[in-house]
Amino acid sequence: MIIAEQKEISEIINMVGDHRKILVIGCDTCVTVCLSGGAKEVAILASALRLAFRVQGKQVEVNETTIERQCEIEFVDSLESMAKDKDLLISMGCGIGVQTIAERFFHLPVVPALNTKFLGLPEKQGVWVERCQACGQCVLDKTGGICPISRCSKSLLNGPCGGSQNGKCEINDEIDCAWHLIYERLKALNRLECLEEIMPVKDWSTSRDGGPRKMIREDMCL
Amino acid sequence: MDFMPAIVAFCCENSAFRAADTAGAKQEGYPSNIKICRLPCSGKLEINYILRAFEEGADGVFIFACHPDSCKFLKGNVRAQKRVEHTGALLEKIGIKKERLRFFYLSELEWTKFLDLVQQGNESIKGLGPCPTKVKV
Ligand code: SF4
Ligand code: SF4
Repeated sequence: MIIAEQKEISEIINMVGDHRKILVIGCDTCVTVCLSGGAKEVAILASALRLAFRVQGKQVEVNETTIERQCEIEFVDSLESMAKDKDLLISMGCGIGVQTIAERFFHLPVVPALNTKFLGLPEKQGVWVERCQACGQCVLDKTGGICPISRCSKSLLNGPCGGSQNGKCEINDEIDCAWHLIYERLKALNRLECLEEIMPVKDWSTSRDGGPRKMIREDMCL
Repeated sequence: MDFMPAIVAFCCENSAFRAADTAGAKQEGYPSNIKICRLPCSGKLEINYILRAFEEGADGVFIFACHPDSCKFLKGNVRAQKRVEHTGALLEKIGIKKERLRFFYLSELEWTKFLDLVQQGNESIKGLGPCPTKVKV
C-alpha cells in the first residue's frame, strides 16, 4: 500500500491561510490502513483545526468527510454536494488523492495534509517499511522475492557491495542488507545459482527516468 | 464570580469509575464541576475524545487509568498514556497548554486519592483560567 504521514499541524494551519470554509477529506483505503488519513485521523485533524482557529479568534468552518478512495474519480464525484460551498479542500489522501480532487474540482484549491512517503507495508503496529519503488520492470523472480531496488540502499542489481556487515547495510546498521536477505532466502529455496547470473544494467526508462508514466490496456478501454 | 472550570474525567470502569462512585456516595467533597465519562478500559481512549471534550467547552481533561501492570486488558493503560502524551503535544501546538490534560493512575479502592487528585487538578485548572478556545469570536 501507499504509506503516508501527517504533516505538522502548524504547516496545515499555514496552508489554510485566509480560507474560511473548509472540508477535510479522508480516504478509506491505504491511508486508513497506515493510520494517517482515515475517518479517525480526519476527525482528529478537523477537531484540532477548529480548536486552533478558536484560539486564534478566527471564525473558520471546518467540515469533514471520508470517501472510499480518493484516487478514483467516481468516488471523488461524491464530494460534490459537500465541496460546492467550501473555499478550501484539505485532502488526507496520498498525493494521488490530492491530485484527483484537484482535477475534479478545478476551481477549488486543494491542499495536502499528508506527506506521501513510499510503497510498503506495516512491519508491526506503528512501524511501516518500504518494499517497492515501482521501477516498472520487476526482478523479484531473480532475487528470492526481495526487492533490491527499494531495499538495497544503492539499488544494486548484483550485490552485495563491499560494505555489508553481519547482515546489516553499511549506511545504517539498523537497515538489513538487502543482498544478505536475498542470499539467505535463495539459500533456503535451494536456488543460490540465481546469484551466478549477472543482471545487466537496468533500463530505467520504465521507471521515473522515462518521465511520467502511463499504462493503457486496449482490451479494457471502452 | 470565581471561575469554575468545566472538567471532563475519562475513567476506566474497572478502577477510577468505581472509585469515583464510592467518592460520590460518601458525600465528602466531590467537586460538582467534574463530568465523568466511563470507558470500558482506558485503552478505549481516543485522541479525538479529548479534542472533542475541549471543543464542547472543557477547560481541563483528566484521564484515569489503572496502575501499571494492573490493566484488566493488559496494556490499555500504557496505550492510553501514550495517546495522552501525543495529544498533549498536539494541544501545545494549537495553543492550548498541555497542563490542561492530566493523566493519573488509580485503583478501584483509592477513592480518597481520587478526591485529592480531582481537587488538586481542579485548582491547577483554575490557576490556568478559562481555556482559550472559549473566547467568543
Ligand atoms: S523490482 Fe521494481 S517493481 Fe519489483 S518490487 Fe522492486 S521496485 Fe518494485
Ligand atoms: S550493504 Fe547491502 S543493502 Fe547496503 S548498500 Fe551494500 S548491498 Fe546494498
